[in-house]
Amino acid sequence: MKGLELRDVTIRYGAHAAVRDVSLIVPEGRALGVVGESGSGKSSLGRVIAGLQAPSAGSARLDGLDVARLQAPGRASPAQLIFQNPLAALNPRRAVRLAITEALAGRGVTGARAETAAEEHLALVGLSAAHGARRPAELSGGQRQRVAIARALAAEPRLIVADEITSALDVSVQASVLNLLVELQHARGFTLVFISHNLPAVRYVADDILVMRHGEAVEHGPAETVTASPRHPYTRALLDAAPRLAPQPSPEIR
Amino acid sequence: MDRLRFLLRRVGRFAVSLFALFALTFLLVHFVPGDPVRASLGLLAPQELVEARRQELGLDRPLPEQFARHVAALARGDLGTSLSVRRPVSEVIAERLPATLALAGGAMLIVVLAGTGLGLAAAAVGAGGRRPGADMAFNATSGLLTSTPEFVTAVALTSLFAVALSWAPVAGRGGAASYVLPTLALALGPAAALARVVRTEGLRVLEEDYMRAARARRLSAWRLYAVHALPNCLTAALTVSGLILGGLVAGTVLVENVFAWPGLGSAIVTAITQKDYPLTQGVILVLGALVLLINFGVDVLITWLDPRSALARH
Amino acid sequence: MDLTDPRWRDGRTRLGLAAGAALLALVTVGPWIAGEAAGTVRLDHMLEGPGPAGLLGTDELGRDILARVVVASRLTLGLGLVATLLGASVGVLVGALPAVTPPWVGRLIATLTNLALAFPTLLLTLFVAAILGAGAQSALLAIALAIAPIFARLTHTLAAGVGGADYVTAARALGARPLTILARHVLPNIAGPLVVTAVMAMGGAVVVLSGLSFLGLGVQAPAYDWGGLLNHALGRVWTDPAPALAPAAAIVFTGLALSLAGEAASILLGLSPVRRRPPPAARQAPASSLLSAGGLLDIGGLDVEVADARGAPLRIVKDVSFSLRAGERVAIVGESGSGKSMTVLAAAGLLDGRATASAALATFGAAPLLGARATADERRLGGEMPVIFQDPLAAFNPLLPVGVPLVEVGMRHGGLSRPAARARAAERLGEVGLIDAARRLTQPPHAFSGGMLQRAMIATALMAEPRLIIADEPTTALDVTVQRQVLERLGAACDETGAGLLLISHDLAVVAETCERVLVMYAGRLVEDLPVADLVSGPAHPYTRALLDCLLGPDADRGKPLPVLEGRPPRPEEEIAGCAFAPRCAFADARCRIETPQLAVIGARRVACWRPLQVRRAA
Repeated sequence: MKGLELRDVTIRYGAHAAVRDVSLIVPEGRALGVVGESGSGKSSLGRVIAGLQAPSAGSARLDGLDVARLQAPGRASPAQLIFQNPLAALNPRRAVRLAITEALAGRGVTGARAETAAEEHLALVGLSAAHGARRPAELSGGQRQRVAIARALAAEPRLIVADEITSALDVSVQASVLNLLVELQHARGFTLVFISHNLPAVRYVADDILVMRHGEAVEHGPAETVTASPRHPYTRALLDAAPRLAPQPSPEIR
Repeated sequence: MDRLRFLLRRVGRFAVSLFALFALTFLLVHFVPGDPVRASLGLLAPQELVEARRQELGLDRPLPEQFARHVAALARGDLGTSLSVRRPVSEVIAERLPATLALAGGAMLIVVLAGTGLGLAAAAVGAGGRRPGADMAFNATSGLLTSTPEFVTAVALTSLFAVALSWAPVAGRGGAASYVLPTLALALGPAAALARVVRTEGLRVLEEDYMRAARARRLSAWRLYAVHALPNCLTAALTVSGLILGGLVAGTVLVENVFAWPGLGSAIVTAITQKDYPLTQGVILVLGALVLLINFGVDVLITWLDPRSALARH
Repeated sequence: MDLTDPRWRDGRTRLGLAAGAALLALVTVGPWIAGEAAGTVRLDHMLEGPGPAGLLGTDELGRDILARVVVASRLTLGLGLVATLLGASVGVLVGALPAVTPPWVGRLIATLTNLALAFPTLLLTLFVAAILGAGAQSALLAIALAIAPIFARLTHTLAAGVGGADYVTAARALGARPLTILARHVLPNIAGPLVVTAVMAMGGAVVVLSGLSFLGLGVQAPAYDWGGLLNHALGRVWTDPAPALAPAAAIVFTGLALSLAGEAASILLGLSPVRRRPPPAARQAPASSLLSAGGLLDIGGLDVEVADARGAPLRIVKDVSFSLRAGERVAIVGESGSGKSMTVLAAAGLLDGRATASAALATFGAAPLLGARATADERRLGGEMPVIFQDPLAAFNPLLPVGVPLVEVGMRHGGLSRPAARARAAERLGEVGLIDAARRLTQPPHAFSGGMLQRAMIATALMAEPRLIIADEPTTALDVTVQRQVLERLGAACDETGAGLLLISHDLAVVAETCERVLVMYAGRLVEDLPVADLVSGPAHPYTRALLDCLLGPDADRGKPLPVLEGRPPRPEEEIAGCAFAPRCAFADARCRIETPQLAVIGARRVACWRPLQVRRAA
């Protein structure tokens, strides 16, 4: 089957089970939102989905293949993860353009073609070639996260896991990164797993929502249903906890 | 419970380290290229004497048996017989150890007290870079002292206080006055090194949120520094002081040689030059055990002071 | 090589480079100049003190001692260098092994290096010297062997750290091969610390080598190094200290120079921060618009400065004025870098040493806030103006029980005896919802969750008689479901005591639920001061408006892109002409880019904008 399939995924660290028996299906091209608080196991689940670690039990399959085996030297994995902190996810000593060419090399694009393709990918996320020549420390937080998105895209993945990609960013920058991600998913059609503690952001990005608590999936369903009529009391608590403010629409200039 | 398990693990590590040290000193003589006995007695010694010594050292037996005999001997407190002075090694060590311990003990006391005290004071005075002059003075002095090895300090102190000013005896172990220069020579460098660590640590601690929170409560200076800052500086300082005090033990070797101090340090140098392997082995075993004991003590102290950090570090 | 880079301009860099250069000059040029004098035997000048025959005297063959010290530099430093390189190479190889071997080999290596590191270098070298006998070669080997474990452990630790970094994980997922990862990502990021350690280790090697030679176990006659010369001079130190002092000084200088050079390398490689001094104390406070006094907390014309990378003062809070009435709940809102935390910390007198505050007016009731240290008025702030910090785990001393701050406030500001303070502390902890409070008081902070600690912090604020509670992002570090409880606790604390609240937040929704008035900051300035009701009905400053628009509500339309505020806030070091928000503002005109708008009163609010949005009255 096409898409992502988790079957009884359990992740243990020593005696502690970070994730217990999570099963679900994300059809190809859909966006799954994973929401939960710290310690809910959502990030561990994300790493397993991206194939960065093997589950202690159960299986995670992308298009029928075990994701843990998608990682292989010489070939970019079709499952890519975008990390929470872009500063830690980019080599501090290299121009950020090289991060993108590294991804391109992973699918055999090298030399002059890679240079052109790298610039195209930078442009895709709204950055110039001049940005590409800088090191991570010389970019703003939002720009770094754009580079990380471009790097993931350059690998032409069928699945992208976005793990809290806006929580290290300023409020006024978060929206543009979310817009970019949604726009790219619609254009490229990759399957998306969007992990966040921010329920409104998850609801905006995702088609389906998985609510996690203490390593267990407490609710899973279409985004509108889960947020409009939650069945699990914890989902309701999450919804109620978020403070609300309903401003009126922008006025005209005086 | 965690603390107890952690302590037990430390005891285990101490025991393993001691055993490794013992095994290494046992092997020392076997590492010597060529024939150690011949090397020790010289080319002119008659073959019969070499054979006799070889038998006396047990070198003619298979290695495992030698080791077993070595262990058994150690259990009786027997470390063999010195080749140069023809006396039991344990006797030589027992005679000389007190002098070394007195010297090292005094120096350690100075290092710990002066190092932490001055380091903390420097941190409190220089916090936030408010007094660049004081900072620079501290950095320059402590940097100079840290870079000065103990034998150089010893020579400098001797030329100044013993020779030029005649304030203290030049060499030898006698009354209280004879302790002053060797102890200082041994302590100055390590004390400066510790003070630098404590200062750096103190500056870090003073910037922590909990110190800001304590300042927000407008506590007295005493409570601020002694109750809130000090314990946090100490755990980090202790971690380093294990290393520093261990180095100090080794430093006794140099200082004792400058001041003709009748301790283990002056004995080992003679032993090495005269290829007196049993005595060398014995002294290295004792000095090494002393270093391990210090590290073990520091570990225990840290666990007691700060179970959280000790457990986290593990 | 950019010589204007602050790393090159740091005094320690220059000192370290100068010391390193001096050492290099000594080794290269010195022996060439002094070589002849060092070897010339003059039987008519034997064992002379400092004089014409030798600046520092002569030895028993009449050779110039100073010249011999200069010539000995080559052997001493050469042996030190070779020993260091040898030890470092072996160490790095051994330390890198675990990356390619089965795990048990790695563990074995780690155990052995840790064991070796427990022993001081000198003891290890004595051990090797005992095996190999006295001599330069055995000393060199001994030192190399003693240095190797240092590098083995460092390499192992560094490689393990970088190997676990996100960018290495990412590279692996992109199909980069192990050797590529090693060459591209791991080595460049661990080379710096290894180089710095090697420079410093060479200083240690020279010292240990000198020590061995001094004991007669290192370099043997007729060759001579500094340790040997010192040993030789020791015999006559009673009559003539100068010949001993020269090699001693050379050893000390080398150790010092190499440690300074190591520090310089560390700064140049970006491993140590460039030193920044705080800007000089308060300048003349700027005359501010709209000073008002007579509130509970009055701040007028507040400036906060820190030092930039080049040591020039950087204004990160600019001419901020506001006033709080007793019992009023006010929020300060802004993005990171807006200066909101600095403003409040300055008002609370809690800036650390690296920032300097000045103000035309800064009072809390009758008490002056800036400059007055350790007065009775200032001390009272500890009880009347409690502060709640962002990260509760960091704000409790890890080595002290959680009850300590509560008891402290009760005793120092609540006028209680220790037992009474304990009793009240237990009572207050119970009030904020902690079960089994009396026992909880004696437990260390790491036995609590973040939410519980934050509630304990609120309990601390209630130990004396608070008049204004300052809360710096009190819920940012907490989970959403806990956030609400803590905010409600905070509100209840204000209700019960009648205290005011000064809440710092980046979250307008949190603010709207908790406070009556909002101060919006952008790029160090207060841009709008408005009642919360007006926030909902429509703010006047385009920045406030944009912040509201960016707020991602639970019912954002999924079919449409989210409203976006283009651009980014200016960095503090950027020169700003006119309104700092103008480059991102849809309404900005020419004037906005030239003149800095001042706060002007419009109805119940103050706005710093040349083109404020139409203000609607709340329905």
